[in-house]
Amino acid sequence: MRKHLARRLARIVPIVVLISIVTFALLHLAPGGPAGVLSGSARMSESDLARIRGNLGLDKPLPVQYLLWFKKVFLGLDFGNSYATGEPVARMILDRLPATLELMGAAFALALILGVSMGVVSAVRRDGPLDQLFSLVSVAGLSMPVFWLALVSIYVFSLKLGLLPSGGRETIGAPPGFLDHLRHLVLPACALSIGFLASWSRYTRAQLLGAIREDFVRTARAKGLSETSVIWKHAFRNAALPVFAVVVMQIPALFTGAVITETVFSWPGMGRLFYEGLARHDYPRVLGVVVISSFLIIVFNAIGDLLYAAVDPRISPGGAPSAVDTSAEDA
Amino acid sequence: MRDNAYGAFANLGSALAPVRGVRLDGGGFFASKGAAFSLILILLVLTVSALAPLLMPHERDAMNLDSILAPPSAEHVLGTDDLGRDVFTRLIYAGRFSMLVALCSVAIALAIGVLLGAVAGYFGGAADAAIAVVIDLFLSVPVFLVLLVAASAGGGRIWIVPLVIGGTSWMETARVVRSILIPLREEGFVEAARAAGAKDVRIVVRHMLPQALPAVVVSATVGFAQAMLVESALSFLGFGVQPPVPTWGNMLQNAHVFIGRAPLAAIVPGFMIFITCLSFNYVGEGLRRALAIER
Repeated sequence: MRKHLARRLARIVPIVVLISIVTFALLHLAPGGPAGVLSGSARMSESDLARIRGNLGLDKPLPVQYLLWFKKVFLGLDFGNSYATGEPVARMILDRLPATLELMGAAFALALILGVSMGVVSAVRRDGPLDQLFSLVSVAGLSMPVFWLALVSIYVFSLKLGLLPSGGRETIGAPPGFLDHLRHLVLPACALSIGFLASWSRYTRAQLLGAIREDFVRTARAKGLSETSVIWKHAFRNAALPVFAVVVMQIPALFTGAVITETVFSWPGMGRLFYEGLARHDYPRVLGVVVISSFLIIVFNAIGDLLYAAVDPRISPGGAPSAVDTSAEDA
Repeated sequence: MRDNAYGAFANLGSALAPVRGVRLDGGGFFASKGAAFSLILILLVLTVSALAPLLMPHERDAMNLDSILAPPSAEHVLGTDDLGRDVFTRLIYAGRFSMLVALCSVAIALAIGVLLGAVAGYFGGAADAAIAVVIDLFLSVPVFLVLLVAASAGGGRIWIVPLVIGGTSWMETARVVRSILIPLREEGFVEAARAAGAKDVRIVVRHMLPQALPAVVVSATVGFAQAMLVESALSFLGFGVQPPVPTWGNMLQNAHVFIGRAPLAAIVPGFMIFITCLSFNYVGEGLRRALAIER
């Protein structure tokens, strides 16, 4: 186990380096480039552009540019300065991190609580009306484009009903308050959580149904324990840890959702930072966000993998289900 | 008969029978109303999209700046968009591109996934280990972020989009194919083929891959829905298929700006993505049940 942990940790650095190289190469493939965006106006002469390129270090050969970037990151966690604003990228990311974590945390909690409850109810009342309803909800959740759900919820709750704000993290000009904050959080968090809610409820249902079929549950029933006790104390305990492992492994996918959700709701987080950076050819910003989120994702993946192995001794480390495997057994 | 999840489908014909509706066993495809209804819906969407030029009275890209964001009328059933183009016409044309991109993405993902899965499953050893590392790598990177960067590097050329989506979504197929092929290596019919002097490629293609077909079909169906969702998100963010070529995703690019004035134009394209993906997911589940595929 310890050996496996060491192996996983040792792999983090090379993977993140590889991702940074691929991202770096792709960024420089893109037509246009940062100098063009910076120049903006047509009055910029060719020599001005050359000077800008020189200042940004864009006139050096690509491998040299990459190595210079890598050196700064490796030695000082310095991700360079944004081409667009001149701010240090590391500070930009740190500034946006709380908003992103708040949104992800809220969506995560929502999806976990609702998803697991739905899964448990579905498994206990298998094939009942609630099970069918929840299974419909979860297939629908997996088929729904996040940005569309966001748009529709803005239309209904902000524009038509006027209940909730349509974007931002707080009302501009209004005194900051918890309630105001919460009202801004509701729609983005719900939109972001739907896909996770869908897949976690399916996974919980499948795991719990599997546990209910096991011998120890039959024994517990035979002992005359109440159904509540059988389900919660015996079956659910056994189903909970693999569910938890999958949940942990899917936390990284929250980053994907955050890019879209933050963009639609003008949420000032890392996802939007990435999107704007990409649109403006702000290479240091894009690279910084990709590298930091890759790092987080790999760490979470490793945790999920280890948890799964720790829970079930039959499974050798590395054999945990993939983050995308959300299948629910029909048997 | 079903002691081995895949053994029940030793030959191609029986594997695909439920799809053709030839065999309707109790747990079969059409036992689920959802799956049957979804299949009809998919066929309907496909047909209407295919016949778009015959059905639509308006030009796909014809702009009319005098009637921007017009409400629904007899002439414009769903109104017009922010450039005065007929939303209904673009919606129908968009179906072609959205589904074409999803189809190509799935084809690319399947090609890569089946090839790598077959190599890993058949040869094992070093090849298997190397492919496992690659799969692991793809599963542990923020694929969507890199995918966005790659799509933006493509500079809006439409063929980049399926390439990028397919190139980042083949891992599940590879895993499935690998896991099916590994136990088959020891089977008598593979030994027999080998003894008869068949080459590796022939053994894999003729004798082993057909057994993986049901699982691959299911994975392709569900993959189609996923590819469509990814394409729509890419196009919505402006890094996928570029206007004037319409897709259901890029029709929503400015939707948050005009949703107050023209809600239908902002809601209907997303709804098409939703029901199409829902249908493909239901068909995938129906197939999984009908083909008795455990995952």
